[in-house]
Amino acid sequence: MRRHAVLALALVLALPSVARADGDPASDVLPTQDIFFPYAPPISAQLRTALVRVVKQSAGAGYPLKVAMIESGGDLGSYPQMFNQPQSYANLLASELPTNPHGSIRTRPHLLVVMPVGFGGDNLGAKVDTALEPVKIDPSAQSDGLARAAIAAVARIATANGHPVAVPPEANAKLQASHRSTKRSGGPSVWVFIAPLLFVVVAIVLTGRLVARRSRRQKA
Amino acid sequence: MAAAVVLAGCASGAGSQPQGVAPRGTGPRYELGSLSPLTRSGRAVGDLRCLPGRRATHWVHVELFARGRVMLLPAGIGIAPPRRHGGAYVTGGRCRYPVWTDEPTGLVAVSGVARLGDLAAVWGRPLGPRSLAGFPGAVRAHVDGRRWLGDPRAIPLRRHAQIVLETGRPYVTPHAHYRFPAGR
Repeated sequence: MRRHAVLALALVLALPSVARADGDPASDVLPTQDIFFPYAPPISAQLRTALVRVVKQSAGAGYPLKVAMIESGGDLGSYPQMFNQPQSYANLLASELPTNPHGSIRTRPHLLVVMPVGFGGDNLGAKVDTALEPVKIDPSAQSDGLARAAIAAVARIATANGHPVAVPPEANAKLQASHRSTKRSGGPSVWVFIAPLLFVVVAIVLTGRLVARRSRRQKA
Repeated sequence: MAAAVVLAGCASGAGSQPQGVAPRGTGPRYELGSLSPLTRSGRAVGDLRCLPGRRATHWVHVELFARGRVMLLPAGIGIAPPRRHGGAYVTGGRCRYPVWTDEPTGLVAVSGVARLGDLAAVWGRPLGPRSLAGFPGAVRAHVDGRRWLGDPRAIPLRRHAQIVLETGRPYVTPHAHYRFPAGR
């Protein structure tokens, strides 16, 4: 009996961990690529390129990472309640990513989650807290704020784990608040107020001209 | 500037999984391609034509489960080659059908009025009351968390509908809601 139990336990431990899904977009995207970018606002091209580059450098140095940037509940699909709970979401995401020895993720991935309130992660080594301590996230810069922090975080985590990667200059780039046009919370456009005013002014001018023309005709 | 919150130990703990989380199906029965012989060449699928420059009017989210495992809707359904790829995404192609997928997340773009049967037709996978993409058996459908009792092909692809189809046990608790990203 005990022998059977030991055998069963050994069998369970020998099986690869089962990937889970569904409902959060990052879990569907990260098996195929290393970075999940937030939907909106889009990350600026310069920071996007820099992040892709530093993740590649980290992998080249022997420390492959998966990075999920979550700017809003809309990046979490069925689990918006996990917004700004980076460690809870990192735990979920880590359980969802496949560890298929024949797939794109061959071992338990090093996973970094970045949200406006901070970082979450899985399998990032014992020195991760020290590595991330000086890294600040600027929530007012929205997606670009997450990307800039992620660039610094990736380099510092890889280095802390014995795979030196230089922090790219983009990690210290000055940021502006992200593109207004994609802000959901932004108020209505100024044209909403100007357009009716313009319409009234044009109507008054046209009516005045019409009246003047009629009175001229009557006089004639 | 907000101070970064530092990781609390980084422990991997699946602990309490939210509902609707199921193992991902692997192998050829679960990992299906996005093109059918008709869509590969951009030919019409019934009344559904492939047109260049087609734009989405709205989006829906579709989740498929067979025998308790996730079957992903691949990126590129309804987008005819030659296609442009960017990582996990299909970012463009020769033309688009009235329903298509840019990404492997279950988000489906719809142009105009369409039903779930249109998505299955464009994908080139069977769908009916007793068949789901090659898996035989009764199909259970939920729309926004409510059970759909009719033919799943008739489910309308309304704006921001959250559609879950399942066949075979164990059944997964269907998600009733999906938070769509801004602009979709």
